[in-house]
Amino acid sequence: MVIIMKNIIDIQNVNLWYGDHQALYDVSMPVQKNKVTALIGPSGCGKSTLIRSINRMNDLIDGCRVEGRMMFHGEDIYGPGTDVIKVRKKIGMIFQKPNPFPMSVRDNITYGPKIHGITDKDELEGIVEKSLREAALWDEVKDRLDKSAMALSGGQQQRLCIARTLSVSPEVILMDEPTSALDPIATSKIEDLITELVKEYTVVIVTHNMQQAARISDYTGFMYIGEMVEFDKTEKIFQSPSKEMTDRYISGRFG
Amino acid sequence: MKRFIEDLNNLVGTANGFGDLVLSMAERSVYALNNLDADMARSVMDDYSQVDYMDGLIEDEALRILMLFQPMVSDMRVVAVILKTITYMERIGKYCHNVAKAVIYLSEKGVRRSYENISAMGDLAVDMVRMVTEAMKDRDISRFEEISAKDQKMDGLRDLVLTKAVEHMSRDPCCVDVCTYFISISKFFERMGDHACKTAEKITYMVNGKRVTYN
Repeated sequence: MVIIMKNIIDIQNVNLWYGDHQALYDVSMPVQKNKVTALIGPSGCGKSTLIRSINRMNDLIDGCRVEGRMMFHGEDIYGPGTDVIKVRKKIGMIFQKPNPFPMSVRDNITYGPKIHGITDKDELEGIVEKSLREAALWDEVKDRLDKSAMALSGGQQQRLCIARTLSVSPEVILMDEPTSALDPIATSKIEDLITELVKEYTVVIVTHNMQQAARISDYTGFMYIGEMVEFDKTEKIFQSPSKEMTDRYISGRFG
Repeated sequence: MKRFIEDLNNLVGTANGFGDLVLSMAERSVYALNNLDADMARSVMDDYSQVDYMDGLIEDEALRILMLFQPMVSDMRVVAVILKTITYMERIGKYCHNVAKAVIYLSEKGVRRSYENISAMGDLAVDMVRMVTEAMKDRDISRFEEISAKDQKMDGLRDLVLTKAVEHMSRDPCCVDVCTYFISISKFFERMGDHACKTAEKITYMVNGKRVTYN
């Protein structure tokens, strides 16, 4: 299958090992700018491994080895001389369980910009408001910016984490099952937010919720035992995939 | 998952039964026409209430499955196509009913035989309905290769019937009512063929996910 499009990220023939265990086999996948790309597949199929390798989060795991090319704006993220901190600034990540820092709402947002050298108070305040607005959280927290982030609800905490990611002006946001710990209403808010975010950013999302992938993504990749079984437009994957295995997985017949 | 597969299989089974009923009505309406058999025509008319009932029943069941299980990919296509095709099949059943009603009128008028071309249209309609009911069952869409040609043949026959009937009516004004009924019957068969084509298009989508046009 050939999809011609503007790729912000281009994953080319990536193999990944955790020690002796190979977790990814020759995975290729394009990520188009300002689109939502979803990764689906049964537990242990390598979705999280793949998404975590996009911003080199797997570097933190001992014995993790990557082969192949992971192009970001045409440059290999794993190439020599890559500034990993810069990669992670440009490619942010949201996890399954909201993980705000145990500090105030405001400090959660300003933490990143401060590390990246912004000290001007007005500028930081501007970032706080902009990030929280973009994460559709501003109206709910604007009067409690100095209260602890831990007092927010699960859904609010997750949106705070998204705002925290936005505070350092990323281009790509990776989301690893961002709504699986949330109730349906909070989930719906995050989904709406993702739809808004792709106007400015690019989103790659791992999800176990098939309907969620079908609802919010433009492209979907189906993975199984470390391989990319099928990658195509979401509409195609969920209506008439080319591979029978994709059909069987999405319709709930295995996995 | 087990319950979903059971329910889905039952839905498909009921939809196939619905197809069989409509096919049988089509066959009997053509037989009734060829033999001007009013009793057979009445049996077709009686069956329409069952068509109406099954149409509603299958729709309710398909909606219940959508609500409970949110089927995906090929399962979604099956449920969506059943929802759509029952409407076409109900219409075909209605046209069989209308043919039967016309046959009763004609036999009461003392008409003893049908037009040759109208009988041929009836046979074509039955053929086309059989194609879709069988394809629905065995999911073999290769038989649809001929359906467009049959539909074109149907349209040609319809034109012939119309020309011939107008000729008759202008020659002999006494046969205007009978001719008008024959014209209506030819229209019903032509519509049955069209609906069979639409059904074939949907079944093709169900089987391979591709959009095609057959007429």
